[in-house]
Amino acid sequence: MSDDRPEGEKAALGADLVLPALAVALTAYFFVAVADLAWEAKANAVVIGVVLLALVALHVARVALRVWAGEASLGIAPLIEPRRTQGARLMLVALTALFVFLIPWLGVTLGLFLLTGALMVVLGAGSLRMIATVSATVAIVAYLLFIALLNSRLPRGPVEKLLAMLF
Amino acid sequence: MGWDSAFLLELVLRSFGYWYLIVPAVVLGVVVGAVPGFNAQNSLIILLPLTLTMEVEKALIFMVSLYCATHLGGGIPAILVNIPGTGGAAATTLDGYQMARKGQAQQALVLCFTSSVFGGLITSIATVALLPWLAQIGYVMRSVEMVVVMLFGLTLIAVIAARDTLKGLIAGMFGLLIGAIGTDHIYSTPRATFGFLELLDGVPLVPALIGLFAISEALVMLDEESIAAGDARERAQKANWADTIEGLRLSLKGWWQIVWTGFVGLWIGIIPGAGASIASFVAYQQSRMFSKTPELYGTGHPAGVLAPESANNGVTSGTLVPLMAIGVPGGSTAAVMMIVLQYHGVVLGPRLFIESPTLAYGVFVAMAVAYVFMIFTILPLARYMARVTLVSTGVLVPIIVSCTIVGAFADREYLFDMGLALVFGVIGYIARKTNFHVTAMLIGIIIGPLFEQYLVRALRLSQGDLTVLFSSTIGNVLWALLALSLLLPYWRGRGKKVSEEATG
Repeated sequence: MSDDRPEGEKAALGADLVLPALAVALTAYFFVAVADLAWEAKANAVVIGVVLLALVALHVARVALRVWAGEASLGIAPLIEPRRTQGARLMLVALTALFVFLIPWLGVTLGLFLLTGALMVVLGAGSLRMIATVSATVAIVAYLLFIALLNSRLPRGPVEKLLAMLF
Repeated sequence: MGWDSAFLLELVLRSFGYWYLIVPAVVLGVVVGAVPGFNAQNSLIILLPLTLTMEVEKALIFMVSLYCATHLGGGIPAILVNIPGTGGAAATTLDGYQMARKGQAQQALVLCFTSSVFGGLITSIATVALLPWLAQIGYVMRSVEMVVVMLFGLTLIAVIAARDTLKGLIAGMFGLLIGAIGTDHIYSTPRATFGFLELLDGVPLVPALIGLFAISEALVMLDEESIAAGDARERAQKANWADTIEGLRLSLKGWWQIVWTGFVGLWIGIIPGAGASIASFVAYQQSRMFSKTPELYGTGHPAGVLAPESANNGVTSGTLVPLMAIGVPGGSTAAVMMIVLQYHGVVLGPRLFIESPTLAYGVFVAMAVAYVFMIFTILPLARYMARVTLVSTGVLVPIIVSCTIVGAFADREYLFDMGLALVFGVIGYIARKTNFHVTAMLIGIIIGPLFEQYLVRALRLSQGDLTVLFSSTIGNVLWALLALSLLLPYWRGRGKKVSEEATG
């Protein structure tokens, strides 16, 4: 966290500005999007947006004062440390995004089997046998719950099509 | 109708006779509540073909049992993996997860189960006695008061959940703005949808919940070997039945806490739209405010589990009060129940208590009976559930990500929602790492659409005059409480600093 740092080290408050920056960006986009609408359609966004901008301004001023006083820097250490797990974290996000992209072709059962397995390999979760067992269990439970029991609209892939032919 | 003991005893015995409906509903409810992405509302919708074919009394008993059990189930992942199964369990993460990290997951689960069951039990019994009077509360809360209630709830969350109030407020208001994405309520004009048709109905809650809590927690969890590490791991490994008994002892010690926070939940549940998320935070804040050891809250304090869990189960009775008494559902789950009742030709409102007292009062009696069944079903399992904290994150993280990303699809059945959950996961990760509390953001997203509805209604009535928000006595009292809740921690902090300086 941004305040958990060794004694004497400056607080890296640049990370503290990332979320407020996102908030300001959304507010600006919202203001542009509702500019030409009737007042009933923009009242809520204007009320919330103005308060949000005021709060962000206070926060930025507080950060600026601390940086000015030499107590803090504009580093982003809290977001990128510990570095040893950063690679795994990025892989997790990338593999999940890939799963969401490929699920229309893979289907939920095969997709989940591959996602769980790949994540376990990336995180060094143990033997291949264990990885296969956990991945297969997740995929089978998802198939039984979402496809066989709830008949949800989750994408059907080769596994679902094969099972539909058999049963 | 007054208090008729013989009639109520008959209702109790009758409800116990339906054990074959209550037990499966409780088991299903606990599972549904524990899995993020599923909730009582969408489960009841899925089960409509079943409940519509049942007799009305049986259908109602099945639905209320499942509904109550989901409120209890939501606390399980909140404690074990810092992911609330439902929005109402978000406050439980504050101390429940900290207890799990200390190797006290079993005690925390027992505290969660007992406070849920007894909070729900006491409030459902109280509701039977006070029903005609409680129904009146819904009438005094108008749009102006509701706007202030929501801002008050959000402020409390910002003050309580975040170590830094300013950051908590920014997170809450950011959530409120995200909640405003979608078409407006009057003209249905799309606003800030980034060109996605899937956002026209607003930001869906389930992907937001899954992203902000489950995926972001999984990303943070990678820094640890397992949830319970070091000494806590050793302690969790040695957990036995004595820990369950210890949890029961702590619950017994906090019996008064369970009772009054349960009533906080009941009170808030009666207000249409307020719901379990706000109730549990208000109860948590009140509990901390009256505590002799407020500094222990947030560090794994048993009272920090008792208060929100009792309150969010107190809400279950409260939500059904306006439905039964005035025919207005207090929440989305109550609305599904209303559909089933109307299908069976039941006319809701004051006449229900005269024409069908067995049904009107029977709902709350069945609720109480369901809670009795619940404690015996779930309590022995605490010991085994707590073992989740020992599983290596290398195994746990892939399971959490795989199961929850698919859960994001369950509510609306859009593939888009899975991607949205991932985006919220990254936002949640940034928020967690920089102490912008994700809970405040989630609650903002949850109440966003309702906030806009009440704000615009109030402004339309006053022809756009913002001072209408200060025009009601109840509203002004709530404004004063809001200001007080912002200033009190500041004053307390200053007082503490002065006394520390004085003592050297």
